[in-house]
Amino acid sequence: MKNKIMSHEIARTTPGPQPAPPPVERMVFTPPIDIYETDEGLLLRADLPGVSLDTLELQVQDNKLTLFGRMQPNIPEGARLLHQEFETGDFLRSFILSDEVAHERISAKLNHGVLEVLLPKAPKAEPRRIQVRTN
Amino acid sequence: MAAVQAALTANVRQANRLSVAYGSLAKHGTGFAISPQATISYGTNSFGLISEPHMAVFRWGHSWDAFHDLEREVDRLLQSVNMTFQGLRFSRQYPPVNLYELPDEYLIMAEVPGVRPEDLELTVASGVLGMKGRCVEPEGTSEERFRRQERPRGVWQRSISIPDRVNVDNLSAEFTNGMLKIHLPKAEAAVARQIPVAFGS
Repeated sequence: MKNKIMSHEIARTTPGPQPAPPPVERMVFTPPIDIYETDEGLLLRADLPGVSLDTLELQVQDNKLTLFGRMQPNIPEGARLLHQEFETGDFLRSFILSDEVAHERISAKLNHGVLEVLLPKAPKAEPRRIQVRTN
Repeated sequence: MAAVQAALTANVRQANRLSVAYGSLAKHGTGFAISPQATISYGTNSFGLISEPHMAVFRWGHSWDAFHDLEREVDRLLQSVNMTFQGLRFSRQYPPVNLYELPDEYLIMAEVPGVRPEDLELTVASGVLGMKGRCVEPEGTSEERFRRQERPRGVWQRSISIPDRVNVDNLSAEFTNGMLKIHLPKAEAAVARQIPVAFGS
């Protein structure tokens, strides 16, 4: 689930003279996913513990589905870490969608730290008969 | 997401399962570190994390053809790293737990995404905090329809021995966004108190 790849947070491009904030280093993890077929299409589930609706971004662009979640475990200020088995960071994973997915009907929900994305099947294009002529 | 108040029920089982395999505790600087083979101590300043490997019936899923026609993954780099990590994950404890200290309490955080509140059980008995739960597939998910399966599932259980300086009667827990947070308030004697000094004239 966890990749030891450090990411530099993309400094937001703000108009104006103020300098960009210093990049913050955060871990980027690949969340584990399940994908399975349903009668309606494909169902994707991803484990995103600590990610809330406010910190989750899901987007489709040019056949690419990208999920990005920021983990915010709400640890109080000044807490001293005594023992660690997981790290906080960001979840990122993307997929190429085929034409068989109806992009405009993709829907998603987030429940108890699990993101569920429904990728509905696009209706099959009807075969079109092409008239052939001779001169 | 609504925080779910997890039920804390004391006195469910006796300490007999403490004799099971201990993944546990070694002290260094902080006094609260962990190492897999050390013996657990129920001393005054130790948290021990006990693993019960035979309880874990997780199946870490196999990845199907990454270049399946319907979905293809990008971020090849991430993926290849991830595969190595999947190997490592086998040896990982589930759920992963972090332990923090605050002036007046200890805080246990566990990553348990997808567990349903009714499947989560917390107990305290004889100075041992037990966490139990299961990750289940939703109804009607049949095996052969999986294209890819990486999320852990099954029944899990972990125990954490709690030092004496925790007030076990006042534990509380909340479950938000797949994250379980257990508050362990320090016993009064463990909270630093100011001692007034009388200066003689």
